[in-house]
Amino acid sequence: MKRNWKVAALAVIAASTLALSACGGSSDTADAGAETAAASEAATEAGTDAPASDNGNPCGWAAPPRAGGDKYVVYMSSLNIGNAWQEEAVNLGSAEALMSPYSDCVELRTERTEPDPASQISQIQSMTAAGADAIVTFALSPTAINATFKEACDAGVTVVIYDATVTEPCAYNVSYITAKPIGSDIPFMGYNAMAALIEMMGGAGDIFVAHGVAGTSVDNVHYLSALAAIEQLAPDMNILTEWDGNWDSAQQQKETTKALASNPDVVGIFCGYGESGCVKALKAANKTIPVTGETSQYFREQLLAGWPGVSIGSPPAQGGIAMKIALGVLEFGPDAGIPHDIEVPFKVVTKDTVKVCEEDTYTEGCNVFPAGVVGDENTADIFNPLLPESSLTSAKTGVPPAGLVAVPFTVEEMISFEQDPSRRYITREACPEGWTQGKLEQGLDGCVQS
Amino acid sequence: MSDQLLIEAQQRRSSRMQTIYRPLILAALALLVLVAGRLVSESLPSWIAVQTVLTLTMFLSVIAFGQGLVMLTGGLDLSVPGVIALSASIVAVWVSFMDGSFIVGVLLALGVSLLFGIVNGLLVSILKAPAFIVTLAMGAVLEGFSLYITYGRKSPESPELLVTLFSGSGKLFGIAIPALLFFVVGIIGFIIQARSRFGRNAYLLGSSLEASRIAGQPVNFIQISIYAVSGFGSGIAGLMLVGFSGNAQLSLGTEWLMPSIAAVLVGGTIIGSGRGFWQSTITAGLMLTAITIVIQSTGVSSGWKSVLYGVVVLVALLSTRSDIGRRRRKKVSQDPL
Repeated sequence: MKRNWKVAALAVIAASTLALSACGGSSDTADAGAETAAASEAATEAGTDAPASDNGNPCGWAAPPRAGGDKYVVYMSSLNIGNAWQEEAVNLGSAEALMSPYSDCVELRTERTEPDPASQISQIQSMTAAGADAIVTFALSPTAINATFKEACDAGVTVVIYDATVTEPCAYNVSYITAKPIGSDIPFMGYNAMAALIEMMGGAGDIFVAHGVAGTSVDNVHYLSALAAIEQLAPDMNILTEWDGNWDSAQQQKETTKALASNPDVVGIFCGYGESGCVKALKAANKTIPVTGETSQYFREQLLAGWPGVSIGSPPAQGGIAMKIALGVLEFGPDAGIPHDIEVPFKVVTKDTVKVCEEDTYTEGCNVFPAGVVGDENTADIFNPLLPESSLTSAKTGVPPAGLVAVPFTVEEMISFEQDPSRRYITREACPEGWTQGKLEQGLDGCVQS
Repeated sequence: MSDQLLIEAQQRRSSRMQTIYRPLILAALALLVLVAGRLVSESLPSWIAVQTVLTLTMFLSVIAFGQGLVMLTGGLDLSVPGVIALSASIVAVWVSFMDGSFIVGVLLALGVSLLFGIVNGLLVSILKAPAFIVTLAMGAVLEGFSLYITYGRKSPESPELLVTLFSGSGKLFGIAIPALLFFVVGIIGFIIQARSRFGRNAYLLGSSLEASRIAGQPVNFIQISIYAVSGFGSGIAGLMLVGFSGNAQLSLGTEWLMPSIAAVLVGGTIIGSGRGFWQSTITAGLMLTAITIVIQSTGVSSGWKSVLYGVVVLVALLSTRSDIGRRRRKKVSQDPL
């Protein structure tokens, strides 16, 4: 009895020290530290064990924290561009690390990256120097930051990149870019979006095509696979005009308005991110035609109201999934066989499959929030089969609601998410051993078994 | 004596060229471009295309008004996208998050825009800092503010009234309101620039700072008010563009800065010379917008479109301006700016 009391007292002292150190370290994690402290306090009171250690490491994970300490230092970083998608992704990643059981093992630090590679490089370097065990981040360039990621890996840091990918082999890529959407046997968002557009147009008619930020590798994958879909499914279809939408709804709206002025007879738009701009321009011109877009709340609400469109795009759930992969690597060790190339499946939503999310937490099949709950540019794709512990509260605040617990991946699960080697070239610019470069059916350069 | 008369006659002719013929030619070219668009698209020319050109040029003109005045006096206002983003964010956040009244939101947005215009002017006129650096830095500051006030929230929605007025959904006599507003903006701009004391003072200051000073003009005050007008104009453009696109976002103004400068230059304004006319600026805007629409309708890939647009602007610049390619005989002014 007496011993129990001592253990509890020690735990409380440790927890408050942690909370204090968290306050000193970074203001972003102050709340998080306090939450964690409260959680471990509660755990101790309930009589459960504080971070157990079969092998002397916190939580019994594969290796001790790099900086010593009794918790693993994990950074979650997003791009600071005032973008709802980036906010959701970084918040889901943060919330993951603050959920039990991870909250007992991890000290979370959140950061934001300015949108230029130089500042990301210095930021990654200081994270590495500050004793990071894992860095989960959005990468600004597939190649420009490679050397810095390599330095981090060499220092023993687990580097996990979400959404856009990097070619540095030591970094883990967690991305939807080459994945198959849920319910489709064919990979690539561009291909699937164009195929759906063609179907909605009845297989014929002329369209507009919007690029994202032209020249980026991600945009190329979307664009080339979309062209392949036209070639295979509707070879007679014409592209009336193309423009650079820059993944920006204001730009998309301006360009769509201009394009409609000279081609009012268009019957479909392959719009992509910033789709609310395309739809708003169409509405101003009193035209209701099929549009492909990504996952914005605005677009999904339009689908709900009967707009003919297909909503398909990058899920911000990737932020949370990437965090789980990073924590999985820390838990099981880098040699446990966790693949470096993880594909995240994503949703295809049309006016027939759009469904309102009534709950704050994950519900199978729901894909749009009730009107007024989130902003136009937010997305309900915070929910993903790989992230059943997601919640709207987490996505909004970065702190999970009380009682929600993480659902860690097993090694077998992570292996099952591995990217097909034939698509490796797209994200790594290299093929795995035993494969050589070759064309994929979807019009892109990929790998074929030699 | 007869020499004197000859020079005066020449000047009159050249001034009529500037104020009447050039804008007429530019407007005719804009129409011609749309008609020639037939070669690339069967749907051109059309009433929709005309309406679109007027709508887009209206936004452009509101920005180009202040930009033109600043350029007359040898400066450049690069803070335009920042002011637009901030003004849009203020009105959207005020109305959609804080449930503030629309009128107060508009006044707040315009007041802040005006204020930062004045700060630009103070830095340029009193501290003699180079205008483009001052306004570039100010633009960054303002984008930072916009990021701050919209930060971590859902992207704020535009007040309904602005959407009705500026998105093209609202119509008057069957014509989209922003297209009609083009003419209103044109007339107001003309009155301010050509018929008000402020406009005349700006021209005098532009043609010679020294002369302006000797004539007893409050030089600093005029210069500050020019930047203030530019800030105010960008603030109005922010309100219009948030209505046009429905949401306040950081990138709202980025796509309008360069076209506004291009319209001023193609319209014949000579930087720092006090020479340039509003009617030419807005008709140059019409022509450039018409050109982008025709280029848009060609099937060429988007990279080639950029190339084409760049070349067209260069050609337009070289062919509409008399000062380029010819050595100026007289030094116009020794402007320290």
